[in-house]
Amino acid sequence: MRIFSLLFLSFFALISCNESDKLPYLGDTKIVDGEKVPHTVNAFSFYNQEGDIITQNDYKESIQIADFFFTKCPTICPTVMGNMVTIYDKYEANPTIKLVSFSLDPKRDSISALAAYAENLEVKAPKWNMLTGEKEKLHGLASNYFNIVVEDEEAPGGINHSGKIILVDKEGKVRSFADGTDPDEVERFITDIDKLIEEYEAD
Amino acid sequence: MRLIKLFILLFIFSCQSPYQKGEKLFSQHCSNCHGAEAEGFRKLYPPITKDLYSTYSDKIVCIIRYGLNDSLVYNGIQYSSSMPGNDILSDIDIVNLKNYLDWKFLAENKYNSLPQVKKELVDCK
Ligand code: HEC
Repeated sequence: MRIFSLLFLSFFALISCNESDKLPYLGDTKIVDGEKVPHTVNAFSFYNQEGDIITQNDYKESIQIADFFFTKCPTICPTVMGNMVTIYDKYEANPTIKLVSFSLDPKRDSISALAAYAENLEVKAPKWNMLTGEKEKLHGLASNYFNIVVEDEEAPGGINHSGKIILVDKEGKVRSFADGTDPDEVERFITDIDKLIEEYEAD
Repeated sequence: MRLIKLFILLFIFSCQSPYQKGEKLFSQHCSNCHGAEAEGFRKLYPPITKDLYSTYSDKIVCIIRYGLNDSLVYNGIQYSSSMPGNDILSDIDIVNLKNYLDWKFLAENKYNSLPQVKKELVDCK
């Protein structure tokens, strides 16, 4: 009898533990060929700070940590980027973790402007690509990555946007996000990164 | 007994920094770049120190409103990015900020006058 209840208990422990460890799939699901497919980030092709074209294919083997910013942003970006730097430093030795920052202000954020910015932050491509290209495409991608962007002359720096940091898995699915200006949310987000790493290690 | 309580109260109040408004404005409008303790961030944003502030204090009201593009060098680091101007802060906010900065970095208890700061702001350009 004892043995049975023990087995029973450990069985439950296993199930519940599996469930709580797996991060959810976020965003709207689509039905493709009769199967539910979670929201997947769109394809893209932009230049990074070193003048290389980077596409979503560069992230097939990587966990992406993404945000949207612009170098002349006076208000929230410095805080969000500060937190991105913390993440960069923490996972510097882990090659599956890659950071990617999409510029919302490609007119001012030329390749060389992004190179200077990355150099000043003391971070390197391709571990952390800062991307620029056509404005419409960059702004379009933002909503696909759970960010809101509105051009507004009244806003400091001319663009209003949400400073979200997004966690994208190797399959292009969004698994977590955080308000990049909120230290508590960022701390929770980092535990989510660790969970996703474990998920792949368990496979 | 009363007296002791009074002393404790006095003690607490004297520990609090003066220029509360300026301090708050600093944390709302400046520390996102310069850091909560004005310690700076990598090679992107310089710290604000006694040395640095004393060279810029004459122009600080103009810097706050119109920004700074000096590519300044400090401790061997060149800060090539520029500081954007801030057109949200009112003239009075700028006086409060300057009072706080003068106290924090130059240890001066100044009460800068509003008309003087207004005049400086007109003369910036
Ligand atoms: C968007 C980021 C940003 C914000 C916000 C910002 N600064 Fe700066 N600040 C800079 C940069 C970059 C420089 C260096 C500019 C240069 O080298 O020309 C600088 C330089 C300075 C300097 C002169 C050098 C030094 O470090 O002492 C002072 C003083 C200063 N800022 C004060 C302030 C104050 C006060 C505020 C808030 C009202 C503020 N800054 C807000 C980015 C910023």
